[in-house]
Amino acid sequence: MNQTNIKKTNYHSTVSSKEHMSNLGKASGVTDLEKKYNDLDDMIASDPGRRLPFWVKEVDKPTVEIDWELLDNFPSMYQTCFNPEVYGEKEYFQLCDNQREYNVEWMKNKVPGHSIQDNAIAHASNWLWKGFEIPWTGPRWETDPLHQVYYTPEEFGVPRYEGTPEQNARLIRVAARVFGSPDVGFVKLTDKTKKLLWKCIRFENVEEGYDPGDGTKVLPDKDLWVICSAMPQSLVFGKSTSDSNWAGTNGLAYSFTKIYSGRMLSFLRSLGYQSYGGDMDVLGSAVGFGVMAGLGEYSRMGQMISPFFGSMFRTNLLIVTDLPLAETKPIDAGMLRFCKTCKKCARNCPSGAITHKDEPFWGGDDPWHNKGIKGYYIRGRVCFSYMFKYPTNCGTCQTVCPFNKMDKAFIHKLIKISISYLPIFNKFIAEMDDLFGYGLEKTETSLMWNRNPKDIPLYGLDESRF
Amino acid sequence: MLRFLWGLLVGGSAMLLLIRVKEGSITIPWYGWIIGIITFLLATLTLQTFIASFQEREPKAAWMSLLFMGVPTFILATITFLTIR
Repeated sequence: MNQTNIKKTNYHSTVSSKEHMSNLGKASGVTDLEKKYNDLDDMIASDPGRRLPFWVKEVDKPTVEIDWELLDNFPSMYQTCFNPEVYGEKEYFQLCDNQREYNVEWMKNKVPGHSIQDNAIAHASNWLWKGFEIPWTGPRWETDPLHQVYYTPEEFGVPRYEGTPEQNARLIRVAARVFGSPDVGFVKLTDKTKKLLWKCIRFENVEEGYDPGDGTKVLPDKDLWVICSAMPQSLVFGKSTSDSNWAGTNGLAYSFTKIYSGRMLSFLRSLGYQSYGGDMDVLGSAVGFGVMAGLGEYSRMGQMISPFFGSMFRTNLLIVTDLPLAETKPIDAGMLRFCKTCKKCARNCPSGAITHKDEPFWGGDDPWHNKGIKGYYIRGRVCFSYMFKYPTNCGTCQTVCPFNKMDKAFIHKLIKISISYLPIFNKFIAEMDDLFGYGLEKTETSLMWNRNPKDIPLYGLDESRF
Repeated sequence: MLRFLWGLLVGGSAMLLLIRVKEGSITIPWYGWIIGIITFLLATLTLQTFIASFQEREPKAAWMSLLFMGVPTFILATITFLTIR
């Protein structure tokens, strides 16, 4: 390699992409190709920025129409349609009790996919999801200094990490991959985007946020960014919503999210910055922030769908930080437009809770609706009442979505390109998806126990999607 | 491994074809080359979709892709062969 091209720093050397390609052209040998990363700075320098395929376009406004004047902060996650306050605690817990009875009955009757081992893996996967709360400002074990989760630069007596917003964004993206999120986006909290936070989040003129313990949470009134992290879910085990493995893959993804959250919160504190969040439901609208961050588009089933993982990722974990981050824009891959003609989730919804209307509409009729979003509002009570008639809940809408593919077949990419650029073929693509048998309930997950263990992807996460 | 075998098959066939064209033992009109290239691309896509669909545990999709893409590939291949003189 031509030594004059190398820019030396204290820790690593960098070359521009032009110089790197030029050096490759000189057949400089394997040392150029086997690039080693000495530290995180080196990884950042190697490839800054989010790389999206050409058919995923970054746009200034999300594809779902939002009236920011009309939009108001939603009270909290307890008012969303899958939670007790909408039903009243008595009715909600009656539904839970009914589900428990169904569970026992199906186990006793040896319904395929509901054996004792199927139930065991489903219930074990839930461990850590509930019953363990991460504090608002992140985990910390004060009692054991040897095993403290994070040491801040202040404690070490060194200056905190400093970088440009682009470098910081790249740093978080790298850390997210290490901790287990395949895709992240960043939203700055402005007067608009603050409306996506729950109403119970307050801003005060304080140096650091805190948890007053009265059900509200306090953030400092300063420049803040939201890190949105897509959390992976197994498509392999998630293909049959009637099996306990479905519940298992949900629980596994949620409990994994909690571990991820603790790690990312600690990482930010260790860099010398503030971090807030903890659990997956304490900050605000996962779909709203995910759409604004460009992780995906709003869809007919009311969830966010990703151009890479479809609807088969569990949640968008939100973490607030004062580390300056380069914002990511909303995306347009033609997915919401595809939803208008596809309707596969609505056609397959066993409860009929998903609307068949062609065009999205302004909500506000039910308590769990948020005014100001022109979307496809589901009939929450109908959906939830049906879900609890089955031991494993129901996720049919999520399972049948045509954007859920393992991505081993190259044709899936061609179809995504068509959806992005040639909407005239959308109806044909939706019909072919049915004809090819995609999204049908698969019973093979119940036979998981007979598979060669080495054929089961680690955590059920197939490498073609992540 | 499958990619390697496919590459070997395509490379070998292309070499044989070019040698015979150069020898003058066969001639292919310009439109024969175009249809032939399209056939090759479609055949590759069909084969990849068929194998990958089984890897995705979508057997119905595999067989349907063979029907919807394999049949046109076969027709195009026949047309290509008919153009060879």
